[in-house]
Amino acid sequence: MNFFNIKSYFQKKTNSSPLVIFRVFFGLLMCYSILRFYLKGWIKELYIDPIFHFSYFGFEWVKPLGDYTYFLFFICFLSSFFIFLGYKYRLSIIIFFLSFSYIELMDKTTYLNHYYFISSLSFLLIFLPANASFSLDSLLKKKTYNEVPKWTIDCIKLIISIVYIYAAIAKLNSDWLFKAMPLKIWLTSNYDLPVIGDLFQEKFVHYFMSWAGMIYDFSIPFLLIFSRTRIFAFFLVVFFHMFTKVLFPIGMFPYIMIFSSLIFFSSNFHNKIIILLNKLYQKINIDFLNSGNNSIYSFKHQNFILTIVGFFFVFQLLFPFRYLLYPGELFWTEQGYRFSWRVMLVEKTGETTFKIVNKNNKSITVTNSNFLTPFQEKQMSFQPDMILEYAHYLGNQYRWFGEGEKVKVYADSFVALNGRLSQRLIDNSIDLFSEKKSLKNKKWLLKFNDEIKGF
Amino acid sequence: MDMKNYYYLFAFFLVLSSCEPDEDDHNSDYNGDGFDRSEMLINWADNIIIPAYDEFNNTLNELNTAINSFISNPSISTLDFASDAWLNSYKYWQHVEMFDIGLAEVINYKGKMNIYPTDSYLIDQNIESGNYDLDNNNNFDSRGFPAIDYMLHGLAESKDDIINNYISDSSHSQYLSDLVNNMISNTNLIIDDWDSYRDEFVSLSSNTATSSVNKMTNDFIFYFEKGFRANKFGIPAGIFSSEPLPNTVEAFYKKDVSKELAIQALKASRNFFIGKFFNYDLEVSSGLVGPSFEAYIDYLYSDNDNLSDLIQTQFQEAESKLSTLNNNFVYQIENDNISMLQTYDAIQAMVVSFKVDMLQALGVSVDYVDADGD
Repeated sequence: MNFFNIKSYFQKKTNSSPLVIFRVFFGLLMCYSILRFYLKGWIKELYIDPIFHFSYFGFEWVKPLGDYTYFLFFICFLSSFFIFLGYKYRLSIIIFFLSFSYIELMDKTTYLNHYYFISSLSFLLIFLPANASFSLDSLLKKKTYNEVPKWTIDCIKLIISIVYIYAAIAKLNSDWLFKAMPLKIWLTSNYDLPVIGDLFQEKFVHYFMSWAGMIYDFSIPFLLIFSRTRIFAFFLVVFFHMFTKVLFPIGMFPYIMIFSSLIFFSSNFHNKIIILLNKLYQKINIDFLNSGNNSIYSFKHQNFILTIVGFFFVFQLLFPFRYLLYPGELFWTEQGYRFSWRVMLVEKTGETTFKIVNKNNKSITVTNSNFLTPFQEKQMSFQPDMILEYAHYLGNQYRWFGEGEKVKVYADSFVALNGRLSQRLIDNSIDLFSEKKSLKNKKWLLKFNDEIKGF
Repeated sequence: MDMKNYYYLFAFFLVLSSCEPDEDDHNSDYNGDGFDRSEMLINWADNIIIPAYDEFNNTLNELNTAINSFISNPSISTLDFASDAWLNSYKYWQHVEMFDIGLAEVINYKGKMNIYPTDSYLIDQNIESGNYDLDNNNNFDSRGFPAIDYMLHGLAESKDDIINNYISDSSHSQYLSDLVNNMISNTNLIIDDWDSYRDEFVSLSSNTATSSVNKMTNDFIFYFEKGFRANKFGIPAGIFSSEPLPNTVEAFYKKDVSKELAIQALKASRNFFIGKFFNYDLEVSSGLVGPSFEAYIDYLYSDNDNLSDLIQTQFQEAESKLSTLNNNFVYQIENDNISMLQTYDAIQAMVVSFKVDMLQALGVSVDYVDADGD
């Protein structure tokens, strides 16, 4: 592809219906996700009840807002609803991106890849004309754009493809492929499912599922791109995600991935959805299909927008590989593990206790449940950066014990990875309170006593 | 694209709505794999939990008889008799404390039976006022075995003085009798409930937060970590405080039996882990074994590091460390706390095996952690 082709690609226009339908479903799903979060009592449980919160490096200033956290969720909900309607879209998506990302940054304990996916996607959506048609904006301004630049739809396909392909690459490791770990543990424990619970006890099923999952992740973007395989691919997507939904407590993720994959369908398909949905709106006397003159959307500053989107994708492509900058086994140290589409990849369990020692060599062992919720304790116990942050918190909490001097904080940490017997994660002779929090290699981590080959 | 797509879309929504699993409880009786969890639950209920409760209840009634004869005729011999009956029942208690499930959990049974250290001031106050409700949680540390310990061994220095308390003031007798009666009535509630609860317990064999396998696993580990490790060793040895706290040992007033009680508790944990039938003679282990954690782990780890062997070795290590301790933990802590700490470390190693390795192998989630994963 030469320069001219690239240039003409970015001038190409296409029907706006896939983009606006994507916006409609995205807004709707986010409304539901946030409502669900609230109804399950998780706002209180995860963000208001805990007395301590785990922060991301550089984002220590992002903290829950006490009772105002409910308001934050409400803002997020409202902006999703406006996105769904296509009302003041640009402002709504910016507010959504900011409020949603703020929520996710409040406590590292709740990190989920699909939350990161939502944040990434909503960032991208800020720059796309997803209110071009079938939106209140177009209705009120009497301006409908039936055509938008083709790249605005393709870049959503691209981010979805990156998620799948990076998830596939992450599965190319000896534990996943040659030990069927951790699927062996997860499937075996689903013994109580009718009929398939039986199958899940079989070794060949563990291997089959591991390999099938990897091949699925690799191939699904391609199967969705080609029109001849698209419907087959979509059924695969539905089946796969509903299957994982039955097996694992993964909340909204399956629905988000299923609806997202609709973007690959043709504009005819989306136009039919629009006609269908418009009929519902007509019942309340809103007719989006008669909303002013049709025209072709073009960016005022397309090159500027393209530069931002370009940087976004370079970041997306490179950031997951930052783990290569760290020595040691990634699954063990988790240095560069997050924000990399490592979805349902390892099984880790840990038990970490902390000892506070003062200058007179007196010590107190901390009862973690005095400071952490069971969920926080569970997550902290095997993630080194959380262990360090908590150790610092404890060092400050136990200042009274120091008799005028800084206390020392030692961690006794045992972690089991993918069914191996547990081993010590942290050098328990190192005072963690005097170790700085940073993105540098954590030298106080002990070496993993086994080898996992691959990515 | 044509009309077909609508049908696809429609079919897709159907799939969506039908695939939503019942999140609270996808319990079924289904047990088709190589390890039968229902068998395990039956073994736990019929061969361990219910027989242990029954035998414990018998010893409580013996304690009641002994206390009644002491009250009606306070003397050194009836006091000794009551003290022996108390110790005997306390040993059987070690074999049921971990079963904090069903009604026991609902009424906080273990909190009514064995919270120590007991609050002697509160007990004295209760006796003086005569106005107390032992089932009220304000009295959490003035009831159960530790309170009887105080009443039989701690009211005064000498046995004669203790007896004089009962001769001179009938409100002491009343309190002592109320203590044991409260324990008996609560225990009867639990035993009666197991009559009906047994079938429910055995049927909930799925892998959900509310199923019996998961709850019992969590209870067992919680007991081992808190009731056994922390209460009997960690807290008195000063693990969680800057100084040792010898007055927090179990059976503080009787003094020379804290080790004996701990031995029974460790034995109870080991028997449960192995799946050994409860034997009414605590000194002799039953030769009968049913499925429990050991068999379950062996089933799951058939081709891996042998976790159950490791845990068995750790049990032996903990037993041998425990055997070196003085009968009286107060004496042990005040004179050689290092051995106490070493015993604690041996037990802590087991907590890691249970909480990390066993939980990972079993795929049982930690108590009530409710959030999405990915």
